[in-house]
Amino acid sequence: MARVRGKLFRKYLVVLVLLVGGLLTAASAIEVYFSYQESQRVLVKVEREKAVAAAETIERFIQEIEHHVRSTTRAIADDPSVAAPRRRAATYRETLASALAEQRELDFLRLLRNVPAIAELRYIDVAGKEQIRVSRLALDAIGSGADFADSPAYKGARAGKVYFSPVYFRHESEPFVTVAIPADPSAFEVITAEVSLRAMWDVVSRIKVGSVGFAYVVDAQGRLIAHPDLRQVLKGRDMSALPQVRAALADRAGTDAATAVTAATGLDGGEVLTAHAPIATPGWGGVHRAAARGGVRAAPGDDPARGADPRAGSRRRNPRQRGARARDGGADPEAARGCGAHRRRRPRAPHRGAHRRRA
Amino acid sequence: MTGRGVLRHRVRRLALCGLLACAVASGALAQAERPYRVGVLNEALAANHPTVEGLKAGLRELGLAEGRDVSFEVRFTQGDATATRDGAVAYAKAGVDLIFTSSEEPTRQAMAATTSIPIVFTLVRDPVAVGIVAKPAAPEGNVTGIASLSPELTAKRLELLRTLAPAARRVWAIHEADDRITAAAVASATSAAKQLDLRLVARPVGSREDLARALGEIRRGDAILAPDRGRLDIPGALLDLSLAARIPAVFTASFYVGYGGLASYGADYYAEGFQAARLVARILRGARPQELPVEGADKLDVAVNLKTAADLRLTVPRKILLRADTLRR
Repeated sequence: MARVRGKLFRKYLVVLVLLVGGLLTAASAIEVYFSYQESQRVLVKVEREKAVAAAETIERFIQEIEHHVRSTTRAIADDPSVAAPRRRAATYRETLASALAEQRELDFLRLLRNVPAIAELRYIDVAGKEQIRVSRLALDAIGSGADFADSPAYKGARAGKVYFSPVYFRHESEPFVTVAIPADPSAFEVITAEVSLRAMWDVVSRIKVGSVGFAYVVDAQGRLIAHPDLRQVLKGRDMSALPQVRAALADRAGTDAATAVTAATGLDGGEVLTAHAPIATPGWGGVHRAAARGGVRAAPGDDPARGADPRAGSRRRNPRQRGARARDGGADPEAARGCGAHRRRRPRAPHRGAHRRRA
Repeated sequence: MTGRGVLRHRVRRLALCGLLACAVASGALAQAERPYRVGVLNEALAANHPTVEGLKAGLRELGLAEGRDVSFEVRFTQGDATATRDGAVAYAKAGVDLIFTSSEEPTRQAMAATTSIPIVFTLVRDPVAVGIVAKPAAPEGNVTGIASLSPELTAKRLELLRTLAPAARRVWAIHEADDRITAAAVASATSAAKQLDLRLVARPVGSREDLARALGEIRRGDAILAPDRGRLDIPGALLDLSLAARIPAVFTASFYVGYGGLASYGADYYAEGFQAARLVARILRGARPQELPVEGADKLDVAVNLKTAADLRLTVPRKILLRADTLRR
């Protein structure tokens, strides 16, 4: 009898355990699923916000340059005497023109002093001839008459819009862009500026999401123009094949949060989570962020560094391990350099200071 | 097992756990406490070189405070080649996290001393020409840094001289005989000189006697284009001559304008250190030097000494007053 009761008890126990355990497991599985979704949503939201903020910083940088250059044109455009010379005697017109040219040269020089990102300024007249050039490296020139009529910058600005050239490199490693701005409302004459983009590189290289997320900028053609690994930019890598880059470029007008964030497949099949924001002023494809799905694994497909340099990839994927090795060994300088990701996360001032005081 | 046995077992386990926790905690603490060690190597005459000051300020801005996150060891060798070599070797032996060099010789010595410790250089005029890096866009090995672009500014310096002292026609470019970079820069500035209606006279000198002889040939009405500082300290000698004999001179760095030089155009020492701080911070935080292309100096300063200009009876035109970053009174 007692044996039967024991058997029954065991049976009940098993059923009960199965039932309760199964329910619990199912419930927690659902919870895990939802919290995974939730954390993904939060991550995406953070990414999106950071992308927008970075895009705004870059846009502001470009707009400021444009504004500075425009401020040199305003002084002359606002001058009522500019409209008059047509009626005046030829000699007077010439004196006036030379006075204006001198004023403009002084404005340009002041701009060189105040805006370190500008390396060179040109004033190109209605015939496409260079009238004024001031530069940080080359000799200045007044009335050199060099022909710019066929240059895309001149033509672009003559159409009445601000023109941005493709990014080019000086000294092999200095990123520059030519900005051409119509000098007057009718866009007869044009001012061009050679602008260093290193300030933009700094903005981009400082953006981090978690341990593996990063940002990059592509130009209107999908060419990489800013990336934390500058070597990728210097290679002029074409990113237009990536669907997320295409989406970012297609999305010029502005974005709603739903389309701005995509879980995409990278080039070598890894899943990455990306967000983008357009940089309207230069018409660039915007900032584009990438992190591993769920923020755990690195984003192989989206990161050109990994394709090009497998060592860089493995280092980034495994910052903790490398850091640990550096700390244990202490003598391996290569490893010591790789430990940054680990060290970066160490606690900051307040309680470290406290430890020190106690010591 | 008796009750006492169990108790003893538990105590032992607890002690073990405690020990382990202590070990982990102390390990973590030790990790957090150790600041990065940066070895500074330059040929300066004193420890407070503006480039080093700029580096410290730049790192502070990037969240790396001196003492807490970074510690600096500074070796300034006052131009002594042996001391420079010894300094580089000492840093390599001590295993600092990074070596920060100024000018070419310390950079070369640091490269000779170590191929694994990252080196960030500053005040190197042309890193490709002096063989420090092969490709600035993708430096190989353990070296990257800031190029001061000084040779490229030679034409601009002549222009500055022409604008400040329009009467001068003959310009002396005295430089050290083994200084190939200045020699090349002077040669390539000849066409610019022609454009500016100046006659550029290049005069390589090999010794102090040579230098004295060359200085003796400079006449009133000439002008001076000073080279970068080297073994013979030619710019120092030229500065003395220019002040004593009232000869307009243009220098490569605002440092000389601070001591009475008429004008200068070149990378600002402090700004160059500040700029290099970005590279240093990124390397300390885990980047490899190969990932960081060599940068050209961001801040090229025009400096003019108005007092010297008045002494030389020169009027400083408005466009230089507007362009100048530094005006000394």
